[in-house]
Amino acid sequence: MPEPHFGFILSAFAITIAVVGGMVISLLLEHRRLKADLTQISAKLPASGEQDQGGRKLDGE
Amino acid sequence: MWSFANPSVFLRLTSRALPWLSGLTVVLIAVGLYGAFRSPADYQQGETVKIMYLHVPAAWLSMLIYGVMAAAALGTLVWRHPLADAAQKAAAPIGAGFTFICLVTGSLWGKPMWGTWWVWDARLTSVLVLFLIYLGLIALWQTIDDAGKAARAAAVLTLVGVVNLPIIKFSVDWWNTLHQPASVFRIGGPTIDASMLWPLLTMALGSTLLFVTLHLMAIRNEILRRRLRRMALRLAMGEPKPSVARLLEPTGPDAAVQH
Repeated sequence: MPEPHFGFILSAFAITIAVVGGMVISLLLEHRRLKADLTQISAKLPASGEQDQGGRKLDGE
Repeated sequence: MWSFANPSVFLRLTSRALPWLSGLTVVLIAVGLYGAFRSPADYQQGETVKIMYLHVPAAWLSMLIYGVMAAAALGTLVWRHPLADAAQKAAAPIGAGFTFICLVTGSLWGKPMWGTWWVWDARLTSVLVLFLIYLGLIALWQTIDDAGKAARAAAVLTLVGVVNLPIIKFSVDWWNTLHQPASVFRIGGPTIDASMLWPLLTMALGSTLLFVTLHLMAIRNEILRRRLRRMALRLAMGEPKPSVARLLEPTGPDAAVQH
């Protein structure tokens, strides 16, 4: 005799997998984005000891 | 102890620990699911009892995660440790996720067994309140721009919400509810047959490791997000940059999280 509540069991497992999978994927994607943003913003910053257009050293020396 | 709470040390340890934790989590959950599907059907509930292997670990985690957040809230208010409020902020969405799973799987289990999706009894309502507290905390962090103020406000709200944990735990004893009383962690030992108990405990352990893994990933992201904010400020002020390698895998003491 087939399980009469198969749909309830399947839905419970599907929703759990979707929520946990969503959390894992969103955390991994966010980590990748943050690393890329940090690399990008770091490239825009002047390196220590460099001078700006007015001839001032940017590290405050 | 405090050296481990240094964000730089934390990032280094996390990058080493995460692959092992992820692997162990997958193995434990796989073993738990194997045991769950090999376990016999319940004499009253039939195969619907399989939902228990998702619902009970999610319910356990919804309370454990709030406990972790309460401990982190103390770290924020008492020691003002930046990693404590990063840990608290990172745990809230994960807690909301597991509480959502607990509520939905409970509803999907309740419909065929009780004949209703939902009743406003003490256990179900107090877990719904827990879910709303999680959402409220997430909203609080989103609405206050000052990270330090947001952390302290969230810490106070978290500690106020702790009163809900014993209400959830003992609601089935204090009030007459549709929900069954405790059957695993109870005086006198578990009332569940061993053939169902070991897969349930394995799933609970695997789910706990899943939380630890997700939490470490989320704290790591929070630390990087704060560093990104700091870098954006440096860019705006024309300050020199630290190296990229140092930003992503920092070792120096000045790489601590700042608000």
